[in-house]
Amino acid sequence: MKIHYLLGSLLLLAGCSLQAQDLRVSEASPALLSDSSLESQAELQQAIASLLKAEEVLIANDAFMQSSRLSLSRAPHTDPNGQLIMGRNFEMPDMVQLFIQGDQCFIYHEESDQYRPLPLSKCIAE
Amino acid sequence: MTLLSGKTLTLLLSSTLLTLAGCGGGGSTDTNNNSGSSGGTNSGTPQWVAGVFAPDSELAGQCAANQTGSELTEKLWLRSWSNDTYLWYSEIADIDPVPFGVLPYFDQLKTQELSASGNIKDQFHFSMPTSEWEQLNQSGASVGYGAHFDLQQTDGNLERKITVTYNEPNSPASNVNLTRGAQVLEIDGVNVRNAADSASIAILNKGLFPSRAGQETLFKVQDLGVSTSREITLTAQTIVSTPVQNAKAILTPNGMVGYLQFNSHIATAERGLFDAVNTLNRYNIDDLVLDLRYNGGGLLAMASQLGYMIAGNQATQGKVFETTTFNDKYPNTDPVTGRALTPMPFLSESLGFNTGLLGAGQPLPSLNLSRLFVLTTANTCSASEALMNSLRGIDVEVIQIGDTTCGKPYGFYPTPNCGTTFFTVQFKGENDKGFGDYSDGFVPSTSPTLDSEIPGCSLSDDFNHALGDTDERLLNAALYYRANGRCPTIGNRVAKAQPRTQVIDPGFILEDTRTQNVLLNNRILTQSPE
Repeated sequence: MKIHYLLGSLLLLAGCSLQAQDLRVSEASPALLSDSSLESQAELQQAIASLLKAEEVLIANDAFMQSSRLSLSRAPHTDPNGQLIMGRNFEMPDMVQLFIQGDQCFIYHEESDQYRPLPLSKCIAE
Repeated sequence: MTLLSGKTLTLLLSSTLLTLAGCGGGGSTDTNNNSGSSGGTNSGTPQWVAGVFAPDSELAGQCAANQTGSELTEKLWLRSWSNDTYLWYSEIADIDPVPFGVLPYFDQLKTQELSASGNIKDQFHFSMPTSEWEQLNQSGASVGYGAHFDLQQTDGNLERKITVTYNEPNSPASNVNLTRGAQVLEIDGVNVRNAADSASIAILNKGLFPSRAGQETLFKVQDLGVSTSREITLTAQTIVSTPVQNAKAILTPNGMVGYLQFNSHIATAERGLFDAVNTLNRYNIDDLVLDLRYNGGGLLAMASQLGYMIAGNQATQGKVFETTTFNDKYPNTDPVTGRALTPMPFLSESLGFNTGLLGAGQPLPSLNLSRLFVLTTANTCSASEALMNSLRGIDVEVIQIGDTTCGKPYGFYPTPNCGTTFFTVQFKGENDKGFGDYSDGFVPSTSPTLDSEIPGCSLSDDFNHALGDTDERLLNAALYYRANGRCPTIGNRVAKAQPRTQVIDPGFILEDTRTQNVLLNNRILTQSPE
């Protein structure tokens, strides 16, 4: 299994890694979005969904405009009486953070040590 | 510049992981794939045998859709899982699953008994597609106009009525001064009161509960205290709610009274509560009126934090906020995590629910109060009720003003199987005194006899005044009770909280189904003329 993983990783690296820069958090700065466009918002939602393995992510138009960090929780599903299903919730929200390295924005999930580049988004250091 | 906790990503490893995640990952193992087991026998073919339950782990992930199993294995998994973890597992009738579909069978896997007051004992049995369940939102974000509505159903002599309960700051609603008490008369040309066909109801629902940002809806509204109506067009957008609002002090002849509107236990509220309590401390308040009338719960740990901030260190030290109890198969361990059961204490530090607003480990401020006035409605639920119960558990005097709360001392671990996530009641919360029997809600009473009855006044919500207005019925009654030790005289029947009605017609319902589970519901409806 390990050999298969390694082989698969190398193959995938060859196929995909050239499309993305790599983030070194120690060299990067927490960042804010300098420009909030629909393209940027869609890119962020897609990247966060990929990071957190969610089907869909919803963020506000002004996300990352005031803070580099963003808290994400499950959508507030309600029961037939209109009450929150998870009215007694033990689940900590996920936190993601926007970084800039050079002129490239990244979204980073500390808990999993995973990140995604954001080529369509414009950032400035926080 | 602040870096993240000293973590350094190595280029190759991160790139590999990223590539794996982004491009679909490497191999996988089916950890649920057991062979040779069955639902009720050891024959190798799962089948139902009354009273015999295979471990649910032997049936998990065997799905009809991908032919790793069948509808029967999915139902047998539900049956075994319910038998293992459902709080009232012994009250489930073990019926043959074969005649049922998967979801109708799940609906059978619960108690059919009634509560002490004759209500359905288990009203919290749900399922939804896992893809929907796993949708993530920026904490507090949803698509809408920033207005919250009370929906009154057509029922007997009652007309359908839509009333704004409150709005969110800096939202489309607040930008056009659509505020508490405003009546919605028409939506996109459909009259709210008279709509009597499903097409009209669909227009009302679509307008009230937009599913996408950018949707424009024309509302005709009548503002509070105004005899004329006006038309406004609202454009839906992603709104981030402000769950803590209106923290202020009210000067009374008998001292300073704090008021705080707390609408939801969500991540962004941690900072809001922290700031609000600091604000109230500066006013040196003698009492607090906590407005939980629209608070349906959320993060239980946040309720614990607020309990600490209200009662203070001395009253909460060494005390239990809430003990979680499961069915009698698991007196000491959590059946899902396998961990030993440990009570949740009153939490005296921030947890960092949203580290962009407040980091973890900050000492929380406290008001050190021995009494709390709570404003409630039937929308006051779950973690909000846990807060009330936990404070009563440490002998903080709780006085309840408003309507009976929803009655949900229960919780569950959402559990996915074969593309559907199931919610079945698995645990109950109890306070420091071991009390948690309030499934019919906390009832404000002038002469309480049951533990679920709380001293206070039974009053209905008052849409004719702003929240935090001292003339608003519930806040006014709290101040009156504080000054006089009794409820104000009620001359108007409408002011008294009305018994809840059970709506039975599943058609023509005004409801928000955007994030609702798959079971039919009974919110506001019209009497069908057909």
